[in-house]
Amino acid sequence: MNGKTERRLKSSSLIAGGIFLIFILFIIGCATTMPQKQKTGAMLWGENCNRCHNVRTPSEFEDAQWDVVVSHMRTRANLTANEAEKIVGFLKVAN
Amino acid sequence: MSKLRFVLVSALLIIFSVSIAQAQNSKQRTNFLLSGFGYTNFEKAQDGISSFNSGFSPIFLWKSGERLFFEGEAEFELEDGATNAGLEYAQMFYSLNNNMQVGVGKFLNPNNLFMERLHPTWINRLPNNPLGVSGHGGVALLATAQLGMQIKGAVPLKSSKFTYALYISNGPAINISEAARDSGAVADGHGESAAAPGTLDFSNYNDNNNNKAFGGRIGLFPLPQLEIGLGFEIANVGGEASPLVDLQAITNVFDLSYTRASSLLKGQFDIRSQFISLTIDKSDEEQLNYKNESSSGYGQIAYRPNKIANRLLKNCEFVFRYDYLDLPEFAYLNSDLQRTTFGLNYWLAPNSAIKFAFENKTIKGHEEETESMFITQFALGF
Repeated sequence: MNGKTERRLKSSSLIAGGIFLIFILFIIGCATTMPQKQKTGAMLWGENCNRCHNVRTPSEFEDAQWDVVVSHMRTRANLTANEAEKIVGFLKVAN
Repeated sequence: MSKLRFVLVSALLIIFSVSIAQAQNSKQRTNFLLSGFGYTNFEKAQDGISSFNSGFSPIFLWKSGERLFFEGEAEFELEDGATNAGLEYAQMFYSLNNNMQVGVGKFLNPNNLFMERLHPTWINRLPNNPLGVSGHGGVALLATAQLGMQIKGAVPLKSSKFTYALYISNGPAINISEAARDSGAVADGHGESAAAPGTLDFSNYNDNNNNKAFGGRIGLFPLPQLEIGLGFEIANVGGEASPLVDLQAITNVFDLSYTRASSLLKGQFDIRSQFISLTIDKSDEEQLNYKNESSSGYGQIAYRPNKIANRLLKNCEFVFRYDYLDLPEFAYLNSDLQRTTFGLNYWLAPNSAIKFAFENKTIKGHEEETESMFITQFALGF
């Protein structure tokens, strides 16, 4: 077995192990939380924003500014358009 | 493989161009916002001279209509007696649908969690980056940013979702020995690079070869508070006209993030971890003729008792991080590093903190030595 094959085998094993671990956790997770589509803007705001940083209060920006901020966060945190829309809606109402 | 990537890039560029034309024809409203972050550090290394340092990174955001979005970040730093200005990222996004966005330009490296989301000073719980992660000194195993194009988004799956990002970019270039460079034996297009042979140069803005790096990341959320990610990158790193043209570098990344508020412990836990493995082909060329495998990783836990009544204590956060960097045994740079850091943060607001950190670093080269450093940082996100 040459070095390249050995290296790819090692990489593949690492990836396969990771995928298996994620799959198990994913199955566990699916059974314990609310369906994604039923989550409100407030819930999505709490879950997604707090995952990386302290949540910014809704009063910190104006409505039009929240549109831009959440668009930025959609690209950064890989939000769906629906999630981003719900979060913006919540922030505008709470503002 | 190269032809396939060329076709893929061309197809994505056509889709992107058509989409922009459609967006410009529709009724739209443009919104602009100036955001960003700044910091001031005070550092005192063991047996070293204490010093202040400062910098800031303005972020320019434009939203044009419902689908087009631009984000750009400049970076101003003080380093070696001069003010360095840089372009951290500048990319235009088009939202194709609910689940997918296409981006072109220079973008934060999406194959790992830390660089894309956790590195701003008001988000990072400690004043510096983990070992092996690009930026601000030391050997990097990952690029800070990629120059190319990407697709990214998320797909809901019942009570959870998965996120994805795939990109094609210039990718890194291999740093080679000065002797090989001077003799013309290896033409890599990076004659000015002074970095150590065998490491990667991620500032590959004028690509050194026709091969494009291909990478990405998938993120899953087994629990709402838990994100697990797997990232990768495959790139040829040698110069187009050199014997190193087929030299390949493969990067694998595993990252984990768990954030949970606990009523029992009256506070919030924040756990982060990231592991990077980089393997570069062995070459017959001078100073590249060894098993070139590097790895780095970090584990970090932070606790903030924000549910207690005491106003002073509820704004405090306690942080511990362990990180390491293993470099190839026979490389020009081969010292392995291990570091432990204890931190105490005081949050003035959700977007500003004063951080105090004490780190102890062990350097394992020909001889083992230890270094310690005290760092204070004031960080503000705006």
